[in-house]
Amino acid sequence: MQTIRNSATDEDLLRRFIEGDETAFVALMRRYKEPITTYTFRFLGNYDDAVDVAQETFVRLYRFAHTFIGEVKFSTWLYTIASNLARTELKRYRRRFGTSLSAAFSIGDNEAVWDIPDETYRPDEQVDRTRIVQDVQKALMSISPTYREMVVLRDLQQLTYEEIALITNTEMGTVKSRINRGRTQLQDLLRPLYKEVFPFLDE
Amino acid sequence: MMNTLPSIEPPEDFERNVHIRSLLSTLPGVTPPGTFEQDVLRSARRSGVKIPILIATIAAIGISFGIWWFTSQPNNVVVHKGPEIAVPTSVVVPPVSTVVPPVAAPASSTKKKRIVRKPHGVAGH
Repeated sequence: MQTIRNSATDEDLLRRFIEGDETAFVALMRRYKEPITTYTFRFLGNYDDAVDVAQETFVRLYRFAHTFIGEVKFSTWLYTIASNLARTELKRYRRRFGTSLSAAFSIGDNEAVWDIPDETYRPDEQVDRTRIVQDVQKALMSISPTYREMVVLRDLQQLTYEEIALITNTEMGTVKSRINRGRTQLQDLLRPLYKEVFPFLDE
Repeated sequence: MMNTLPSIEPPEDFERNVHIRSLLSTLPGVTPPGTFEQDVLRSARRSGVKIPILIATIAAIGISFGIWWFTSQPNNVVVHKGPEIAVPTSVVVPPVSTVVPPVAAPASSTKKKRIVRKPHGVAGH
């Protein structure tokens, strides 16, 4: 039984769940709970909120599984739900901390670095054990959320540009340019770590 | 045999991207808490029950409000049926005297005079 669950595709499991097999839902949740929690944590920077958003993602999946029409891959669909919920959560942060939404979500690809300190990241010993990891996450939280979301999806979740374009409802060219700009911003922020991590580098 | 395919130059930001991606790859995966699955199932089932209750409550409130609103309108006057006056059946209704049969119009005794108009004289003739 376990082997069947492991070998079944996401879409098969979803179909079985829609037909009333709740164990298929549990199998899907086991498959995706860690990637989704990782994504929401790296985007939000707060473990409790990240877990909340990840759980809400699966609650939505439970309730609205029948609305999946198969136009995209199941994983893309699930990430889209998580992405929308995470962005909503981030907007709540901004309201709480008094930052304007226009600054938090710049529509244009402006070059401005996200210079407002992000209070949301609290290094969690359970999650980020070493200082280097904490510094990388801190740098990630310092760039624009628009760029951060795409960098996390690309460089941490290993999704394709096409998938990211679908998840974020953005043009492919914009996705590429935002990822590139996000990496440029990260490079500036992480330069002090370079010598420590890459001692063989000349500069 | 000569190789005709040109060598491919990597982009300028190649090394930079390698460093950034290497650093990002140091970020570990985040393990959700042990109660994750139970929490999800509990709230998913709870929300499944909540929705019909919510719909029923909203419908009940809507219907109550509708009834209250409809009955509280001042223009809607409810006319109650009053007591009927009994009409005695034995009373003979007299013929209506005002009903007169049509009468032919009398022929006219006077002849219509033909009006002959004399030509008017022209001044000076």
